[in-house]
Amino acid sequence: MICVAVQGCRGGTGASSIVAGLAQALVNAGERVLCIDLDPHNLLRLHFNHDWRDGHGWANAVNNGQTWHTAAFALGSHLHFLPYGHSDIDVTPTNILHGDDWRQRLKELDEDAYRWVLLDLPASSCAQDHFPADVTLTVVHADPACHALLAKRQFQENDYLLINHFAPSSLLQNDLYTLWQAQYSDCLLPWAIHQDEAMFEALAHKRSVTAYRSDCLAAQGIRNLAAWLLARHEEAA
Amino acid sequence: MDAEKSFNSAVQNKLKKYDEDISSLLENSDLTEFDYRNLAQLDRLKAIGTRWPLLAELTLSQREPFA
Repeated sequence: MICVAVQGCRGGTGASSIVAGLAQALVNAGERVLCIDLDPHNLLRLHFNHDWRDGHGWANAVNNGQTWHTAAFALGSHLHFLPYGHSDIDVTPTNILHGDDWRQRLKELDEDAYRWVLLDLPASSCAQDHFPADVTLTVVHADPACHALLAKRQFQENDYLLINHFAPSSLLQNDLYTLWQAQYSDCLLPWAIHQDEAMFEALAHKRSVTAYRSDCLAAQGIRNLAAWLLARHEEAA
Repeated sequence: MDAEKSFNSAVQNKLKKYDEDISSLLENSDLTEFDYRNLAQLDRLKAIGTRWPLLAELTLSQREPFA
């Protein structure tokens, strides 16, 4: 089981959309995938055609003393997703995102049930709270705010930067891309996901961009990501 | 002027590490002392520092990887 954590450098970078698209791209490649939404905004489920009013999720289950994975939903035989859920309690328990808890929880899963576990982490603008994962992807926009936040960040082994909503016609974005290639050469993924209206349309259709428009630029970028992950872990195996 | 100088030297230091293919080639050819510089890339980074003051300031404030 390979665990991939995806986290926005700040809010609104499109990390959940990438998780949903990546899950679909991996399923299309014949892989078995579980997506877990660890973001209290509870939006990942909307990419999987989930009912807005359905409040079930792992956070409620944990709060109610139930097993955390009882609220998982299946989307075909290869893709399962676990929403965060709506909680009656307004305050999120402080330990609910504790990395060690999740390491333990993931161990409870049947090793053969999924090859990939994708975690949609809440955006972090502070120094990285490192989450136990085989690969951590930080999603950034090529803008000065992300550049400033990245300057404070410590990168560890298996941490990678992925540029989303990249507009090649923008001078500033191109300059930042060039600068990041020099500054973060060890962790910047060698392609960007291009700015593409289909990314937003997909959510409006309650689907992942890979399922909504598999031929669009953004879906192509996400397929590159899936192929890179598959190649990386085949090499490791 | 001093800030511009520091930015340029920070960029130059980084570029020596950046071109891994060239570095490997030079190492394999026993030319480790060869002072390789990617001038086009260097010029581009200098221009970026001049164009966007915040980017230059942040780059200078980071000890790594421009140390």
